[in-house]
Amino acid sequence: MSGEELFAQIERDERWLRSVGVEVEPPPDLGAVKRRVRIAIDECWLDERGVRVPSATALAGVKRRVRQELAAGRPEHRMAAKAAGPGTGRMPYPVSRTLAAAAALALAAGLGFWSAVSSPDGPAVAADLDDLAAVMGRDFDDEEVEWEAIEMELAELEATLVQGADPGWEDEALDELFDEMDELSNDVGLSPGVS
Amino acid sequence: MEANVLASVIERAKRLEAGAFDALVDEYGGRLFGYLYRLTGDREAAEDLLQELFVRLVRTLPQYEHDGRFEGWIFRIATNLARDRVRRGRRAPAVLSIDGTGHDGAAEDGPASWQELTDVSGPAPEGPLELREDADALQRALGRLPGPEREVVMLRHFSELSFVEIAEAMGTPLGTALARAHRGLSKLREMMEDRT
Repeated sequence: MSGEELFAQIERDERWLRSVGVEVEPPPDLGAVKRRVRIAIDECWLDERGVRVPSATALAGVKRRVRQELAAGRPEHRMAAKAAGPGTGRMPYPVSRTLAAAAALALAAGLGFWSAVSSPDGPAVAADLDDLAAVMGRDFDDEEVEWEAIEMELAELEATLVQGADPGWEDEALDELFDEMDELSNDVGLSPGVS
Repeated sequence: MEANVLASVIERAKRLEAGAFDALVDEYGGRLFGYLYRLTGDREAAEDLLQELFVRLVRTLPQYEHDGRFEGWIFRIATNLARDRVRRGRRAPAVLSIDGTGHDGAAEDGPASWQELTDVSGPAPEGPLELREDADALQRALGRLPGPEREVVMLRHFSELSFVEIAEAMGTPLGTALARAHRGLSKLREMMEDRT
């Protein structure tokens, strides 16, 4: 049998198969699948104790989002507008500082500082977390977090970034940043992120 | 779903947006379920596997690099899940209940095995199980096909994959995929026609 004959025979048999009714009735409950997916998404943001911190999957999502936002230039405008907004008392960042701040926000996301908004040190980071929420398109629940333990590392990293960053920041620099995020994540006991 | 729309949905799903997963469930859920059902021969197992598949997508999509072969990718995951389920079923005690509601011992793992659930060569079962088997002759015939032939035939039916894409998803040469489809369909047709 030639290739053409074989294929023609297969097509004839496939038409026959469709005629005998392979479809499954009744159809599946896709609503149940969607509900399970939502639970799985939520689980990505919980650790084994049920505390709201990002898993490797969530961290990877954060990184991707930040990369895209940075590439699109949106954080620069958004953060500048927010930084200069009422009640913040902050000046708009220059470009390099904006990138550094956005990266620091990614770090914050990676380390799960959602509830720093309500911490004693909150006001200083609240605006950043607002920005983080905007970057990620999420509202973060207030949870107990170990902000103080890693605040210094965050500040050091941000300072390094401010000194070293320039407007031409490229993916390579972000890769290095995210590597640092992973190291810090490991230090505080989170699973490593996946770039 | 248009390729550019799918690419956008995948990007959103990679950011764990629930709405994007809803779109993927709507697009692929029905066909994946049909495929899983026809591979496992068990509706409940197929529903479980469908949920498991999408949960797995939630966990793996952030690392997935879209290259235009998403459908082949998810149907390959479905194939692997179904294979695992049937394999686990084979290891479980192969005791079929006679009330037609399931099977003792392997209730959590789906069918005891394809052949055990669909084999009618031994003493004729009685009661609802027999009725159920009679009501789904196609399922029995599918159960008698070798696994690789069943997979290719059902992939062709439920996915929109070409033979080239199926061969790629199954990790086989194109000729092998075509031969399996031809043999599988011929046997299936023969079994169904013998029945009548």
